[in-house]
Amino acid sequence: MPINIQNLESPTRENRLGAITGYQGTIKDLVSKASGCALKNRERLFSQTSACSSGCAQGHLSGIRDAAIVSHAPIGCAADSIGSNVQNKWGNKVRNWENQNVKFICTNMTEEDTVFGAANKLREAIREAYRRYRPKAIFVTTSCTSAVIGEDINGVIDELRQEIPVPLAPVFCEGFRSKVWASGFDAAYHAILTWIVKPPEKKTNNVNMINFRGSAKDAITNIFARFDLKPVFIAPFSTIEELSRISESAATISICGTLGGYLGNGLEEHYGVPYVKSLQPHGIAGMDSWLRGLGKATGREEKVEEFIVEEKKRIAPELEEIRAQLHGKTAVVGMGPSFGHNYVRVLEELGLEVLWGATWHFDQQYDHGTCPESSLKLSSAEKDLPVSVCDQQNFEILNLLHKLKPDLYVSRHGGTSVWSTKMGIAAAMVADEYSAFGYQGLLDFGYRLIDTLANRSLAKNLAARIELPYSDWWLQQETFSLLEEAVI
Amino acid sequence: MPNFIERPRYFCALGGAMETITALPGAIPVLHAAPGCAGNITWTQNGGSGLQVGGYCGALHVPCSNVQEKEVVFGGVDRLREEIRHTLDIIAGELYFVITGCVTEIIGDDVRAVINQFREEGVPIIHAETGGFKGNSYYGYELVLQSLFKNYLTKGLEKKKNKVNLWGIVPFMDVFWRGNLEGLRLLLEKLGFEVNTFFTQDDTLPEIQKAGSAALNIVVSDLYGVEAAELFKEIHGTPFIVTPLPVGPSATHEFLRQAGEAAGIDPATVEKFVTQEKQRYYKYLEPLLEGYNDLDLQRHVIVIGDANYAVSLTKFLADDLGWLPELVVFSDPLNETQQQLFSQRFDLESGLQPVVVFETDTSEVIRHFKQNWPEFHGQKYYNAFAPGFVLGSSLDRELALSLGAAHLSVSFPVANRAIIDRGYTGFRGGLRLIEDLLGSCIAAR
Repeated sequence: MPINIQNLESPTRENRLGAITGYQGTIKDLVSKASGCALKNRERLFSQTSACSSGCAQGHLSGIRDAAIVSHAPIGCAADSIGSNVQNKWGNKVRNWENQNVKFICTNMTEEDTVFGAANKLREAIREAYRRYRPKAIFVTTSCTSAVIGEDINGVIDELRQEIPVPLAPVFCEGFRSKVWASGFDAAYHAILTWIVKPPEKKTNNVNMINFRGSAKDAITNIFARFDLKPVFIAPFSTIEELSRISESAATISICGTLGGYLGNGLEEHYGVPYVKSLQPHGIAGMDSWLRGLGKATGREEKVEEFIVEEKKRIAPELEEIRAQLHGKTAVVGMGPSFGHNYVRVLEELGLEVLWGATWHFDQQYDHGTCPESSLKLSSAEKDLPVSVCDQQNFEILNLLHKLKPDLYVSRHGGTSVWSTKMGIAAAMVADEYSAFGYQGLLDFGYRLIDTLANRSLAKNLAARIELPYSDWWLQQETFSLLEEAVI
Repeated sequence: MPNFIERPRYFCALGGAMETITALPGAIPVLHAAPGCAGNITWTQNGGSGLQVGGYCGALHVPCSNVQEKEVVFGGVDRLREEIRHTLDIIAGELYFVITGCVTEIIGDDVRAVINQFREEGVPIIHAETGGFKGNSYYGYELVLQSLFKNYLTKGLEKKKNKVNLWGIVPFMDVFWRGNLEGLRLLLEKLGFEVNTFFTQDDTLPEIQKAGSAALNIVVSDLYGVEAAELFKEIHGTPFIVTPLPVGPSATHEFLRQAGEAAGIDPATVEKFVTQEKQRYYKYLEPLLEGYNDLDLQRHVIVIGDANYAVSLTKFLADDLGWLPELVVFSDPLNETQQQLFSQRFDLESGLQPVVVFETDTSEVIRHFKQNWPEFHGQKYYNAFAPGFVLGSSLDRELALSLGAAHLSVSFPVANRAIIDRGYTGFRGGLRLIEDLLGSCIAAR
């Protein structure tokens, strides 16, 4: 489905990419059904809370240095700015930037507003955001409440465009529309693509580097410099001016297939900026594929090959030592789909045996029309890996861990690894998107896993004394017994 | 209510309700809401509750109906029924507490009917309507208490002299909730009371169910839980007193005097106990004062806090520690009546008269400060806000840095401290607070 920047909203991932949140099977089955678009979602009879588009959109956009967010919502939907603020301060600190809070105003929708609407409050909040922060752009995010009462957000914004001299971008990210919270990243990038990005005036040697918090910015800057390329880190910690010029870049590349696909493909379709469609740069095979993709998109294949050979040779002896230490350990993976299917490979490169790959959703195809590269790669391996898809349904994950009893649970997204610890199983949570980045990162990640396994006293002591909220009955049940049959 | 709020220092009513139920022993929150509500609440808690997230069945483990477009159009009652049915099988709990979000309230799902159906089957289940638009997390706490008092507590119990219930401290919103509750519980127990505090390790649901037999309710907040105390009185006939959160010797003395009087305890007993405790307090403090004086650790202070802490911290700084609170900022959204009530809470024994403002927005605090504190314009004699201290939340660190002042986070959000059972209430709580305040001043040594 082409990316339409004339539309106000980006379609949800369910509607656009055939995304699902309920599946159990194997990677080969998953990929073969996805390739024929024959995969149907399976709902659950029981569910636990997950996350939503609004949280993802606001979290990502509030990281833009000189933009402000106005959230048209009851206060709870803006309270997550407290979590984003912590991330943002960490990012400021590693960059030696000033300690600054995110610029965020909420319209505080009340019960009365749900009856009479709150367009006036929204107008006032946008004006105040401009007065208070003098931002270079204002993103106006929607909420379940503003959507259910049918607030005319666009009408309010259109009026104010005459008065406020910076881009005002609506972001349609209400939570109930999609079970796939990553739809919120698309909503954010749709707003950037539609309201911030300008047509190119020239071509540059910049590479749009789509990521989250950018901890590896120095390493990437150094690597790209070898190829005479310069990364522009998107979207957190960028500026509106930088974002407005990303149509001039030589290529777009992403740390995460789920995160980067919408913007990457949008820039390719509309401004001819090639989007690198590769594995994620985690571990050796991932970094090979990622750099080769970049080399091909920018005509730097030879230089890239030199770098790859050099680096692989450098890390080989140390990697062997790490592999020997991790050899025979078993792991279960629970992550977003793009990270999950890449990290299975990373763990195997480190010598672990992966017993199961659970991902928080699965896109049958990306915006460029093919099945996710990391899933294809995994399905082409000799071994057929058991996999499942759940929107972070911890009751399934814990049941699974209880049965598989791995040495290690490797997860991404806060809120699941702690439960593995409560079961006495070692847990490694990948909070930083650049964990296991490239060749050196693989070594560093290997050492981290060795450390994680080295002292289990806290987990052991805790597990002996803490009660899990799950009934014995549930832990004995078949893990996927509450997945309904797919509705055709 | 303000028309907009910058970076709210609280969740919505649903968030407060969910956290309150998570803290209630044996209780399971069941959400009838959109999929992201509790995820975002968890994310906020992660960034603001002194590193405390979840509990027995909290955070990302809470059952939630995860309503979608389909339910918005056709109603979500069937989905809720199915969710509860399976929750009972999967999640082991003593009390199931259904709470609702914005979406399911706007579409008008009849949750009560669903709950009643399960109650008829003998399931221990109650509910509260906690749509996020109804108020902030402190109000969500209020709604949970009200439902508990109305729907869970046994009615018609005989009153037990010396038995009290104590509340007014909101779990996770007050990141020192455990320590604060335990501190007060311990004090009252020493005075001979039997105390129910609902949320500590020593409380249990069977005991909570008998809370109606208390002879007195004590709300240690001018705001949080006061409506619930009125409802309690109406249903169970127990009178209540309202006091500010007692932090440090002066406020704790007043608190015990008030509680003792209301419960009919001999004032001489209370005074004797207070004298002993105060002696211990000052005996322990004594060796610190050499360093305090030599390093000149008296500070000018901006206090920024919720309705509990804005009052309590200021009182402690002014009347016990001898610091100079200059500006007090209430970060809760308060109506005019509430503002008037709180303005009267600053009749300080020390005679200090800090400027009191009501401001929900962090970045506006500096404006209030500048209005009340002269800027330096090269004059020969200048009364600077130095040495300065900002006592607020982690959001106020930006302000502290801009003023060159030391900083400590106490009021939500507290992102830069790890808190387990530390508490500031009572006499000993005052000592803990001094440790933390002075510790912040000398951290770079």
